[in-house]
Amino acid sequence: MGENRKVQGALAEFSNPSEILHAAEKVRDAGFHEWDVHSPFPIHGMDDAMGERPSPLGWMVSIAALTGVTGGLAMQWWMNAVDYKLVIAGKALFSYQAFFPVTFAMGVLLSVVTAVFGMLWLNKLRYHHPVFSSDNFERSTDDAFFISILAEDKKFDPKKTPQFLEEIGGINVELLEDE
Amino acid sequence: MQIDKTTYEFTDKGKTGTIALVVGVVGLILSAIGFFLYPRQFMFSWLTSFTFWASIGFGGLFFVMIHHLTNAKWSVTARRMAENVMITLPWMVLFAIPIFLGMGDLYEWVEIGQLNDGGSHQADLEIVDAGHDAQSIDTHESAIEATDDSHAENDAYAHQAHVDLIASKSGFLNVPFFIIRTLIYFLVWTIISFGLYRLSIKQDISGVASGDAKRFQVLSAPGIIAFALTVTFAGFDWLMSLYPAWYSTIYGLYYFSGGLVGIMAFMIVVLVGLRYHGVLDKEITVEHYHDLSKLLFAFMTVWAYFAFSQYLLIWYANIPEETVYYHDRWKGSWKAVSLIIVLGHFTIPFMLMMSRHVKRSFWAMGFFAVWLLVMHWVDLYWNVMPVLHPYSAMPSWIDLTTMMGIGGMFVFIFWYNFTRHAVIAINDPKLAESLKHENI
Repeated sequence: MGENRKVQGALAEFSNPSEILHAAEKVRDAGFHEWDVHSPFPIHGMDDAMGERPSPLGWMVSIAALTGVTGGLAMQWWMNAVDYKLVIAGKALFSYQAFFPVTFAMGVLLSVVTAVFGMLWLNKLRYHHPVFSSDNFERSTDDAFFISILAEDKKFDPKKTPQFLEEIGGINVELLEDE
Repeated sequence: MQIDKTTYEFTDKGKTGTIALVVGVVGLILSAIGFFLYPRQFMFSWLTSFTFWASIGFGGLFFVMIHHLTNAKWSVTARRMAENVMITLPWMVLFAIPIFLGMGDLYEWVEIGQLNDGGSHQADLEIVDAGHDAQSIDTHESAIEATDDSHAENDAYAHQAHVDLIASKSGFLNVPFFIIRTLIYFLVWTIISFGLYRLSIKQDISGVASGDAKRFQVLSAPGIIAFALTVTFAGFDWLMSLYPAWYSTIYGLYYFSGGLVGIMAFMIVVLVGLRYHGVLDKEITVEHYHDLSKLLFAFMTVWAYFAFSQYLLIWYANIPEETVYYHDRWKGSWKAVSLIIVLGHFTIPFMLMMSRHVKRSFWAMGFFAVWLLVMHWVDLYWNVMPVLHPYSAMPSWIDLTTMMGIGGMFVFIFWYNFTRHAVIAINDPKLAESLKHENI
């Protein structure tokens, strides 16, 4: 543990889903915000245990869908009925019936792109998460359950937080430091 | 209304069955009076009501088969309800009898076929004369007969072409074959639904036996293929042949998807009713409810997809023999009905049912389920009635009494079977998982 290394957070291992569920409730009640649970599979009830609020993703996708639908229809209107008037099969210049498939596809396109990237953004997915400095953490995709609390959290303390994680039942508690 | 919490059988069946039976009998009696007063109106109303309730019945059959084929876990608690819907199908064939008897009033091809049987050339000539006469009378009235004789001849020629076209389809569209086909559809549906129902009830008694799921699947896998064909042709026969010169290859799917909207809405309405009486409130939770609502939403969108696909291709190609169908539905007050379907069967419920909160609210979804049941009926009415009332929609009291008659008997049969056995499949191996089902 070199002097110039910066503490990025604390990591604790738990042995089964029900233990980590109760531990998560305690971390939530202790008032931490910058923390996460890592498990090999989804655990029922974890959203409540972590105190997660309903995801705003649905609203983001709604707005994207409306933008896509309006934009898709307006685009075709502009192209076919205003900018370059083109009569096709004797139909009206603005034939909304024919424009629906593209309008629909634009709505779907923007919704899907927003849903995927919005999900990644809301997940706070990043290339260099402090947990990757732990060798033990590799087991989070196999058979171990982890709680990590990041140093960014206002309540984080390099001495007290690991103690707290041990109190709530964590094993192999370690401090995460950058390399 | 009460159920035993251990056997899941009804201890107090309530009055639902009696009320349904009374509504059904009264509806049938009033419809019979309607038949003597206005036979044609009766036939068309009956066809609308019959196709409505039959579609909910085969929707139930589809739900059960898909449940088994996908080895679904969440829907185990709701399965028995769908099974009791599908077991109405064997009885629905009785309601097809009036259609067999009054086909001449419903389908244009019946008359043309009969004329054709009596000696082809003779019949054709008679029809030319008849067409000519009819035109002459019309032109007499407009007092331009003398100058318009060639016009009348053209119309007679067009009419003859129309008759010839329909007569050329008489190999498929003839009375005996129509009746045989309808009987085959019901035979297929009866075999599958009786088989699946019997296995399900046996599972209640014999307990959790290994390989049970597989026995359901052995019947469901060929069943779903037979189902796809029979429902498609049922749509062609019962509804599309109202316009014997018109055709749409997606029509069978269109009728089928309407039935799926019907079954999901029907199940949600029944569940809200049961929940109101405290029945199945712990077994069918908000989570199951959420999934049923998602399926209702999805099938409504599927219906819109099929309906729009049919419309777009016909609109785009703009061929008179195809566009006549939509042209007839854009006349007079039919235009308003068309717009009601576009807005009420898709646009408005699509916007409002999108939210997760709505899908998890019993009352909101109960409301939308009733709404979509009404819209499913309007959709079928809009498909059937323009043949009888070409210039504008004319609601009749017989529309209501036939719905009461067939619907009352449908609900009575459903309720009779529903209260006779456990209300959920108590020995299904996946029941425990279904009970604690959750949407993440």
